[in-house]
Amino acid sequence: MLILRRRTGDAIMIGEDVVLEVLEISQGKVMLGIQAPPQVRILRREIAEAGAHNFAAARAVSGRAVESFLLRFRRSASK
Amino acid sequence: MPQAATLHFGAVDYEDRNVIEFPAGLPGFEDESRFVMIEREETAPVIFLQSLRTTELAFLTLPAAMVDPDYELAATPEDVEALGLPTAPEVGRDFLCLTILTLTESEPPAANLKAPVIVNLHTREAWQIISMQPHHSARHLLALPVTEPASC
Repeated sequence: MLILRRRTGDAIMIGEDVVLEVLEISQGKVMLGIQAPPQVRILRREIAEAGAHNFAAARAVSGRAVESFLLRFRRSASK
Repeated sequence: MPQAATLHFGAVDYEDRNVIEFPAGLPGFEDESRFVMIEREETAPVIFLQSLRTTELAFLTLPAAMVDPDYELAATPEDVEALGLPTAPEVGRDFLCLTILTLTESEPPAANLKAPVIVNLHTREAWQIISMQPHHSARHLLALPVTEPASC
C-alpha cells in the first residue's frame, strides 16, 4: 500500500483525471473532496461491501435454504 | 388491490402502504428502488422485501431487535439527515430497522447488522445505512438450534 502524508489543502492525483483533496481535518476525521469523471464510481468502502453482501443474500435465496431456515427459525421462536 | 409477482409466494395482493422506495437504490442493486414488504402469518416475523421490478429479486429480513435484543443503531449525521426522521424516533412508530439475511444450504444463516435497512414509516422511503458500531457484523450468525429435532 502506498502511504502519503498530506496537509489540509493538499491533494493527490490518481491517474490522469482523479483528484483527491484534503479539505479539512478535525477530531480524527478527514473531509475529502474528489474530482473525477462521471463514469468513475465513487463509493464508501462500507457501501461497496454492503452491496457485495446484498448480492450474496439475493443469490443465496434458494427455496430449500429458505424453507429449512423458516422451519428451524419458527421452531426456535415458538419455544 | 395491486398485485405483485413474487419469488416466494407467487402472485400476492399488496397495499400501497407496504411499498417502500430506496431513493438511492439498494447497494449492489442500484436500479432497484421499489420493493414491497411482505409479512405473512406463516413466515412471521420474517419480512420479505420483494422487488416490484424484478420477480426473481427478494430478500428475507428480520427486525434488528429480533436478531439482537440489545441492537442499538449508530448512524452518521449525514445518514440521519437523509432518513428525515423526527427527533427521538421510535422503532415501529417512526421507522423500521431491518437486517438482511443470507441463507445458503452450506453455511449457517446470518444477518447483516452492519448495514441495516431503515424504513421511514412516514415517507415510506428506505435507506441501507452503515452502522458506526464497530462490533456490528455483516455476518452475524443467527442463534438457531443446530440440528432438527427427531419429531415434533
